[in-house]
Order: sequence, then structure tokens, then C-alpha cells
Amino acid sequence: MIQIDKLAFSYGSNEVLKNISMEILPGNIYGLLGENGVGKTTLLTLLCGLKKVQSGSIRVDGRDPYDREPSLLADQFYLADEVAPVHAKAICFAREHGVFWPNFDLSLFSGILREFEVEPDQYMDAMSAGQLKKTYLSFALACRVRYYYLDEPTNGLDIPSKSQFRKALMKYVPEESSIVISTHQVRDLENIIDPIIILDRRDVLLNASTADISEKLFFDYSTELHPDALYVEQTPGGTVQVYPNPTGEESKVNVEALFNAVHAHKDVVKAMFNPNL
Amino acid sequence: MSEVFNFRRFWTFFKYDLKQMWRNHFKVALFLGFLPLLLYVVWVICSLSFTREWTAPGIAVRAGFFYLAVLVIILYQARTYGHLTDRRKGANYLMIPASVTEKFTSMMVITLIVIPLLFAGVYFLLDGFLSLVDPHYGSSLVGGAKSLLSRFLQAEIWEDAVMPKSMPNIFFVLVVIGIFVSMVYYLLSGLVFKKWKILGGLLVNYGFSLVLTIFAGLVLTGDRVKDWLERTFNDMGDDQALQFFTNTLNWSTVASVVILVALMTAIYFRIKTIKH
Repeated sequence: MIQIDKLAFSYGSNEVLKNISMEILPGNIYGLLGENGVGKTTLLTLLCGLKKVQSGSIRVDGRDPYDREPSLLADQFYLADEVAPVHAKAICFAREHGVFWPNFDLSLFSGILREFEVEPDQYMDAMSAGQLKKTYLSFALACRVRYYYLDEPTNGLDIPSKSQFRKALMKYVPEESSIVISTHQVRDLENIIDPIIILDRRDVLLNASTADISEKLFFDYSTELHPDALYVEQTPGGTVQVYPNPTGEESKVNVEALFNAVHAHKDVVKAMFNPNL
Repeated sequence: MSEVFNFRRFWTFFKYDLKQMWRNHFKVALFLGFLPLLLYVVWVICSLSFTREWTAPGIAVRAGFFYLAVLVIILYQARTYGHLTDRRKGANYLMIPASVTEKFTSMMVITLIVIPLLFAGVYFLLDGFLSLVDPHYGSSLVGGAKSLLSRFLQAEIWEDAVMPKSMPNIFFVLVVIGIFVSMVYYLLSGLVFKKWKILGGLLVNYGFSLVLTIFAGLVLTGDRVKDWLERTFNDMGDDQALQFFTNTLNWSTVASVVILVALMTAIYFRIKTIKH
């Protein structure tokens, strides 16, 4: 389990994260959403130990990730938004790197890569950005670790590959793993991310499961406007509205509409999901 | 399993590191190792073309090229692990499940043992081979250095003193440590500067030398120090001068070792604290 307690981080005088507290539980795929510059990548790099916490703490199974202990590194995988081209065949890269992760499965890597329609014998520095991303994604999934930190994993992927990625994520990631995905491409992942974390500058606006969101907010796809709507958006097929759910009736969460509703009514939504505030 | 150092994990990482180095940087060391052959071929071709005579590069030219090759090897250390400051490649390296101690040890073995052995092994082997097969080539660099050192040791500069037999070893150790210090210095420069890794190292070195020279100049030109130096050296006999010379070499070796350890410590902490 990951415990984040009163986390703060700044780049010089630019305060990015402030007083962030949350828990990341096993078996969930967390969607980390937020506008540009709110600190999504910073949070991921703090979680994996590439940065040092300036104030507060992060504990991954009771350990500080910045210590970069081999046993914790072998339990996690961080996939950056931009990945490095390596002068090696994908299969060689995977064989050489994979030895460090105890659950790494080379045949699984080749299998996932072929599902992405990339040949394992291809040189990585001759690949397109999308193919390179697919290679790293296949490698990450083949590592079968407990903690995944994926920064914009669907960036650069073509439409079939996005769907392939969702399938592979559901199929190959161990059930007890925690996955934190930072993304702007919410439509690519909205069916798989649960819970949803929405970061704002210096604050967590929302950290709730889709069941909880659906219980408290209603996503109305009818054409009739609701007087209490927090957010309304015209869509080609009609409208999508988000308003407080008085009856607890279930509705399908539209992550993009949720994001906009939360941003338009920060205090209302925060109070709704944190009654103690 | 220890989080600090585990031999099995180190061996796995070392093999991995060697493969990466082979793919990216060992080729430079190997290319420089082949320099005697390259120089010889170019020299012979030019000689045959212009003078129609078969001549080979003399030992002075070869020594000059060897010096240049060593200089390139030293400066190139700034590039070998320079990718650690790159956000993408550096993150990959730091996230590999091996401890800082294992990564540092592997880095030191590759920098201070594998690369110099690869370069010097190929260089001296080819140089020795050419000196054997072509009479125009003359003595090999190793043979030349030995004879130069022996002439220096037998020189009649000390009338009342006998040069200690350990002197060649002291010289050799001092030179090797000096080269190690330079290699580790530029390795650190590559880990500190994000861009202009070699130039950054050169400028810091130049700045530091300048400050040290100014400081030494101020100290040595002081009246008290000047008097002390004059008194000490004017009254010195040959045996005392030789002793002073030997002591200076020994203290230089000690100082070099201290600098080497300090630079290595700085590299260890740089790997430990590097952030992306």
C-alpha cells in the first residue's frame, strides 16, 4: 500500500504540490487527472523515487521510494511520458533489462509486442515514437510488478493500439497490483480507471471510486436541462450534464464531464466528497 | 538479500552494464587502441607516395600519438555515463533494481579497469607487434619508456646518493593514479553537467588550477617562505636532495590517492542523489 501524507513539492519558488494526502490501495487502477502543470508527473516521479520529497512523506509498503532500494525497485515500474530509443533489438533490450525484475516473462513480452503489431526483432532506435512506446508498455506489463506508474501511456498510440493497451492491462497485470495512470486522454482509459484522482494546483480535488462518484453525482445524457447542473456540455448526440445525485440512482460516469464539473465547482465537489471539510 | 550489496545482483548488473558499454562506448576505446596500426599504415602510404621509401613513424611521433590517445580516453569519460543526466535514459538507469553501491562499483570497474585495459592492451599489443615485424619501426613504446627510465635512473645527477630501486615503481604508481584521478574527474564532470560535459570539466579544472596557481604564487613569493626555501635548498646535500625528491613523490602519491577517493565519493553520492 502507498501512503502519501501532507506531501509538498516545489520547483524553486513555484509550489506544485501542497498538503497532498491519500492512500493508494492494491488491486486498483488509479486515474490521475489534472490540468497541465498541476504536478501529475511530479507526483509519479516522487512515487517511484526519481525525486525527493521536500515536505511530508511517501511510504510504499513502509519504505521511502527515494532510497531506491533494489527490492522496492524490483516491485515497481515507472513508464515516463517520453521514452528513450535504445540501439538494440526490442527482444535484446527486454532480455537484458528483464533479468532485474523477478517476475519478468520474456515470452509474455514478445506476445504483447506482437499483439501491438511490433516485431521483437526490430531495432528500437529505428522505431516510430508509437512503436517505441508500445515496446516499453509491453516490457512494463511483462515485468508483472506490484506498482505501476504510467505517465501518459496512450500518448502516441494509434486507435487499435489504445484498445489493445486496455485489453493487455486488464489481462496481464496481476490482480493485486496498484496502477497509477496519469493522463489527459481520459476517453482512452475511462472504462478502466477506478478510482479517479483529480489534482489541482496544491490540492487533491477528488479521490473517489467510480461507484462513489456515481452515487453522489448523476451523469444525465438526456436533452432536458437540469436546474442544478454543475456542468453541461453539448455533444453530437445531445447533452451530458453533471448534477448532484439526490436519489443515488446509478449512471455511467463520463470522466471528461466529471473533470470539467469538478474544476468549475471545486469547493462544492470537495465538500460533497469530504463531508468533514 | 542485502539492499546495499549483493554479489549475485552486482554480477547481473555488471554484465548488463558491460553490454551497454560495448554497444555505446567501448568501440571508442577499441578504435583508439588501433591507433598504432592506423598511424603506421598512413605513415607508410605517405612515405611510399612522397619519397618512394619505406619508413615508419619514429618513437617520438608514436609517443605523441599515445599521449593524445590517453588524453582522448580521459576526456571521453565525461560521455561514458553522461546519459545519467538525460531525463529519459537516466530514469531508466536509476530505476533498474540494483543498489547504488552495485551501480557505483560496476561504474568504477568499467572506468578504471575495463576501459584502460581494453585500450592499453590493444595499443601496446599492436605497437609491440609492429616493432617485431618491421625493422624500420624501432623499439616499442614500452621498451622505449623502460630505456628512458633506466637512463634517467643511471644519470650522474646525484654524486653522493644512490637512486632507490623502488623509484620506477613509485613513478609508475604516481602516473597510473594520476591517470585514474583524471578519468574519475571527467566521469564526475559527465554526471554533473547536463550539456557541454567535457568543456564544463575542462573549465572547472582550468579555474581551479588558476586559483591554485595564484595562491601558490602568493605563498611562495612571501619573504618568510622565500628565506626558508633558500636556506633549505642551498644547504642540501645530494643525498638529502634525493630524499626530498623521493618524499615529494611519495606525498604526491598519497595526495593523489586522497583526491581519487574524494572524487569517487562524490560520484557515489551523485548517483545516490540524482533526480529526474
